[in-house]
Amino acid sequence: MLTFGYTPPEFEKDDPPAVRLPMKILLVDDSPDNLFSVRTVLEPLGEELILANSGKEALGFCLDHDFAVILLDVRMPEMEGFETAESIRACHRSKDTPLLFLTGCRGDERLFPGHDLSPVDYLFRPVVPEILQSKVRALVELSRSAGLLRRQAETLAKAEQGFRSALEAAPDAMIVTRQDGTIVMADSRTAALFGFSGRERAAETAVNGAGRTPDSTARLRGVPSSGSDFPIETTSSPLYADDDVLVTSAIRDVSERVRAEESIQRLNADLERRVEERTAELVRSNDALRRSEDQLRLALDAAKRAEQEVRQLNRGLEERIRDCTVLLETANRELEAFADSAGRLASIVESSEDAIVGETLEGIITSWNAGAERIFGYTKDEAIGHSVTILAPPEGHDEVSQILDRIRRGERVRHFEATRRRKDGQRMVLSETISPIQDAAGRIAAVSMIARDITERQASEMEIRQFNEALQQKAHTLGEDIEGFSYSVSHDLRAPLRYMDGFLELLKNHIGGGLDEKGRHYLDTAIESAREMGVLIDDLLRFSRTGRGDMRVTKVNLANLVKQVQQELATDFRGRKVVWTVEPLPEVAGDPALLRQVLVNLLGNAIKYTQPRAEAAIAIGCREEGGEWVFFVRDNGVGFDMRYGHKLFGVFQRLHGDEFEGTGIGLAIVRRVIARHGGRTWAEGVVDQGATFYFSLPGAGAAEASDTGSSGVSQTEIERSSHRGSA
Amino acid sequence: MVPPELKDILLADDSGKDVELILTALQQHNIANRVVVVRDGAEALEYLYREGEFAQRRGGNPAVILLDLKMPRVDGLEVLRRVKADDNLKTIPVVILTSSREERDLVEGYRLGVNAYLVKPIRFNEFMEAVGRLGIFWVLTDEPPPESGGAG
Repeated sequence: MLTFGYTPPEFEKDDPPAVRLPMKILLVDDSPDNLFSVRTVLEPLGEELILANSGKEALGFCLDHDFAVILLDVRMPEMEGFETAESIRACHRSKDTPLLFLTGCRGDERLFPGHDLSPVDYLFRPVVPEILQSKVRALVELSRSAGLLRRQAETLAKAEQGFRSALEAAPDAMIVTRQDGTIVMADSRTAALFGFSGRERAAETAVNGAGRTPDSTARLRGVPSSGSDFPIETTSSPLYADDDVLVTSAIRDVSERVRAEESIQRLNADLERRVEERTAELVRSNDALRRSEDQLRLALDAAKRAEQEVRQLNRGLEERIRDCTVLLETANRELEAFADSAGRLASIVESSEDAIVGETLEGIITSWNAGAERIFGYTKDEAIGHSVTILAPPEGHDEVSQILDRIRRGERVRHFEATRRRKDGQRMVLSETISPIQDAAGRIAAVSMIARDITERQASEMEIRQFNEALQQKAHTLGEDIEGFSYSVSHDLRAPLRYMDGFLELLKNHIGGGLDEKGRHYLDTAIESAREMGVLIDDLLRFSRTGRGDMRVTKVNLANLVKQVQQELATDFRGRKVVWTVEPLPEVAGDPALLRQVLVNLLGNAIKYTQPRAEAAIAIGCREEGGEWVFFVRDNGVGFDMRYGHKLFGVFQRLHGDEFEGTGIGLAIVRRVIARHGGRTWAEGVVDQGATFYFSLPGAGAAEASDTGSSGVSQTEIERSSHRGSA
Repeated sequence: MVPPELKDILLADDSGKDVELILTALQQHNIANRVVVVRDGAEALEYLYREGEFAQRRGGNPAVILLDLKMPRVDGLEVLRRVKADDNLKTIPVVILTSSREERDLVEGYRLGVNAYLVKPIRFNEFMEAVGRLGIFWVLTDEPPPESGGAG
């Protein structure tokens, strides 16, 4: 039985992979600006753009090129868009080219007919670049696929052509069948090929085979009456008879060709395999090459680095040599300078007024200058080699060896005053500085002694001391005198005043009724004056007391002291509004009674001189400055003129008149007390704006800020509504 | 009914003017006790020990001793010392009257056991008040009221 396996012909498969070649696009517009802008939009598509300024120019291009799409301006002066389009259609090469009209006028799109292969499209100005781009892209792709189809059709036609000629030339077996497959005729070659003679068998073959498909070529497998099947190729074509259509088929045994093809395939496969092997080998050798290249590069790098290091080492070496040279030169210069200065030092030592003596650690004299010779009376020869004990009186020998012990421990003895003995036995007082001398390794190797004769200096010191003592004695006597004076002032001056006041008062009571107004005025003025003098004397006594007597120095908590003084002075500002700002205050070393007096005076002044203010503001605080405490009392009172500031702290000095009470002793007392504590007093003020009084106390480090007074800045407002103070 | 005897007030002051002022002050405060005035510490001691001029004096210890500090012969502090050292006398209140504000006098006075200390103020009116207070405190609180005893 004959059977045919069908293998359809394939064209595309054999084509080379499609390379995307640029397509040509024709742009036709009379306006260069329009052409430019359309070109700018279409350039990114990557196709070839050809520009024409007129319809005529466009037609010229159409004769020479195949365009994928033509863009036409509808309105052009010489040859209008549609006229141009007609001509383009008439041209053979461009008859199927898609047209894209660009128009500014609605309605134009109905005027030109399109057809399947040559579509027509319209774009209205202003053109949206994205739309133009995508339209053109679509039209180009259409052309591209149309071109592909055309090429495929051509290939097909060529293949047909080739086959037909081959058939005609080949000595093929020929059969003619009806359309139902009945063999009408078979030639001898067919019989030979299939090994049969009978009609039936031939008819069967035709039914199953070539005769059914006229006008075609098929590759089938022939099944001979005996033996194995073999490949055949049949080519059928219609044979028009009177009233029937017969099929004539040429049958060719293609065994040889298939074999050849197979062998070629094998060869090809072999070739491919070998190519693959070779490629693999090549890849391997390439890898190896690359590896060796890498190694080479590494080696080169290493060599380069080594070279660099060597160069650096060389440079370093050169620098070292240069440095050494410089050092050597410096050392030489220093050596020379040293030699110079050593010489100078030697002459300085030699010419010194002081005795400069070198000793061993055991006190044996090793060097002896002219000063030593002059002070001690021994010559150099007499002194060197002897113990330094020859320079001390017998009772001082122990002291000398004690000093040597200290030197051996590395101590230095400075300006030590000692009694020494001259060669002639005369005693004198020397000031000695004895130092250990270290060798290069830092060990104590020797002793140097520099001694100065201070016998005279001591004598004058003694004189000064005696003079000082005399002065102190005098001062003491003077102090006693002052004490006696103020005591007697206290007793003897106050008493008469008291009597004046007392008896004037008695007199007033006695004759009060009988006096006229003038008489009473005289009497009152006398009484008042006596009292004023009394106040002055009391103040003077108070002042003199602050400068005398021993200070009882203890730790004083100023924060507490301020509180006490505020309470004590409360009656002075009763009925007034006073805003106190008291910052934390430290503990200080001082006499509590005296410091209390300072605060009484300063706070009292602040209260007194803020009297004209509706609201008095008084601040008390402290700063640490340069190792001392600086306290201040600030008020918003009447202030003072800084020009007269120096008078503030004087005795009985007043910057204000009768409007404020007082004799002017308070600040003098403050200054005296603070001075006795080792501090200073000063003030700052502006007329009508307030004053700040400062005083310093030493030893900020000695006492620490106490927090017993208040934590942080406390602001206490003391307001008493009743009893406006009369003071 | 025999009114109880008012005790004396012993005033020792060498200044006649002070004495006059003090007496005036006491008088104005209606202190009715007899005031014995001596001019120095020695006389004060004679009075207390009933010696010399005061050997025959009547009455017992004074109600209060007002002592000036600075006096001839024996000063106030010495009198105070003697009084406070004597078991018989030491219960007598002693007030030191002085124009001195000297601290050492104050300290010494308190050390010797003075009962009160009055620095004579310069202003007479203050002095009057102070003397008045003294009298009321040391004389009247210790004695029956003066009206029950009648004027001396």
